[in-house]
Amino acid sequence: MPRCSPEPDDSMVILEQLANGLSLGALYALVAAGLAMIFGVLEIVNFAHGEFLMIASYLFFSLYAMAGLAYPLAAIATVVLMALFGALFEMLVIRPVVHRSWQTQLVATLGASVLLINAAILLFGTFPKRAPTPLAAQLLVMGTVSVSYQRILLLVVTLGAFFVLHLFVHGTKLGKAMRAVSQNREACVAVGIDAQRVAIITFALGSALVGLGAGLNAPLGNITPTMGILLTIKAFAVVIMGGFGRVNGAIVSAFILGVAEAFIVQYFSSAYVDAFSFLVMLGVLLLRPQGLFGRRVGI
Amino acid sequence: MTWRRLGALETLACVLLALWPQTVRSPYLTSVAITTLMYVALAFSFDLVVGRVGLLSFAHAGFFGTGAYISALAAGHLGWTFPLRLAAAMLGAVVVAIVIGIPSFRLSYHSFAISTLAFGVMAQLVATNWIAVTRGPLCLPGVPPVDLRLGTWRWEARSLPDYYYLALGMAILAYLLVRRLTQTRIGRTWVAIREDEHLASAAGVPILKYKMLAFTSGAAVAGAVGAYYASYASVVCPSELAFAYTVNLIVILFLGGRGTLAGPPIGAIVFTALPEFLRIAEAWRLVIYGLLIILGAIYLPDGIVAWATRQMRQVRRTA
Repeated sequence: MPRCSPEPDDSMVILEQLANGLSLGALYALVAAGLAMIFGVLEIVNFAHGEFLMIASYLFFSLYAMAGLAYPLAAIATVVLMALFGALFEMLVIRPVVHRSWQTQLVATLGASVLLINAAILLFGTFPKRAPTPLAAQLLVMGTVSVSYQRILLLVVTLGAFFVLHLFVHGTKLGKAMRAVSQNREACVAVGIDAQRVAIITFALGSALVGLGAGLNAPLGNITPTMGILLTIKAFAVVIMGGFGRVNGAIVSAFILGVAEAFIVQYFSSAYVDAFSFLVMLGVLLLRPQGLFGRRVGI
Repeated sequence: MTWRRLGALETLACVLLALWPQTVRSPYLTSVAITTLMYVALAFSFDLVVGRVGLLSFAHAGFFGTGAYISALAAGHLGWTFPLRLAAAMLGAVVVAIVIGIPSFRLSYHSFAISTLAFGVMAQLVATNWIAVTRGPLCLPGVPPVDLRLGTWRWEARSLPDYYYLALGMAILAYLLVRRLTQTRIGRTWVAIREDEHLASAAGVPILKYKMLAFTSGAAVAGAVGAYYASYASVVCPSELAFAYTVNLIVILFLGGRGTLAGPPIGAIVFTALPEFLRIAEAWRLVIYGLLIILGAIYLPDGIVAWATRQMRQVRRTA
């Protein structure tokens, strides 16, 4: 096949894929952080978490492309509405099963995932939707490296959000309550921490992070009703790699996975890139069942 | 077990089921019944792992798909007859189960679930992308029908009722197998592992061996159903390995009643027939289905069977 452009410099390709991988990792991190937080505080595996991103992406699509809100406004509204959605989800779906066996909890969240996917098909159809922002089309060009501004925005805002999250979890009373509940639920109830309120806030926070992911990532690609399924599983892979319930471990693993995937696509195969993520996860599970950064826990 | 020990209820169910295609005389209802019976057989085999040993596996649809693909490939490339294809499908599913089981059984609870889920997803990725063998999304068409040969005698499943009776036979065999396995020492050992793995291990039970036995016998049945399905549908696609099938099986077992003999058939009937009935509200069908799963998990956490048993006891007490 004749090449139109001159052979790109190898190091430039590496830089470009690194940027792509980091922005992909940022999306994984935003989804996985919420999943890890929810697992840490409630010990619930939320199988509908990827569907949260799908719902948030359609929400962003409605606000931005259909209602015509300004981009920052649409993104912020998505975050706020997703926080409400998360709180509502906790109250309607999670709370009734919180004292049941983990298998029952899993069936409930699987049901929620079926419901959300099909509600999206009902409302928006199966044809992919797009909500491109002007930023998505503009490229930051440095020599032969070009990265879309939207990706840079995704990465920078994500890192900022995690910094704020860190301050919140370690600095505020509510954040301390969250960490306390994840360490010992019974002791918290005994000393008068409202575990139910903490649960709602954890869900709201986890969903807000997903909303942020949607607001930043939706302009970059297609929005489809089934986009969340693989994402849920990958977010799990990341949470497992990071050590179950450990938010920081999940975030770091997400970036590692994102970068690894970008290079696999570039140098190996785009068809098997997802299989590769799961192989990595299985390898981690077998060699270090406590995760890359985790302590040994009984799960 | 002897045939005499089959209860009146089971005999009645068999007679009613045997009359189904003649009674309804509708190709649509017969094909719904075939799907239901396939789910019954799959749910029984899945229950060996989920209900008896108490491990949540997401790989079961993968065994079904493996069986279907092996059967289709053996027919296409080697021209094997159905019994040979069936044996190959079962053997292939067992081999895959061993490959998945060896690493996954080292993990517990959530990790086991996620690990088997990863294998299930990888199976679908391979089926979609290994074009040279599976033709990918173009599917493997033209799988020959179920045929039996003995010397010059030859029988071929041609009509929908033929396939219905085959599916019925398969479901009954799966039932008998599970019943046989669970009423013996093996079944009691499984329950011992489910109730307290450490205690069972301390009592000298080779845990891994028994877990693997449940996993592989479940896989063998699923592989057999896969071989049947390949001939019934006459085409095998990567979508046969989809996550949605595993979700259906999990819902059938958990909301039917896991670890019981009545749970898988009742769950399969309710959750296969239900989406069909909901066709009245076509667009809303699967939304309502999802909602019913959530409500089921909230109000029937132990399944329909346990709930019905409790209700019956209450009625008896008040009467």
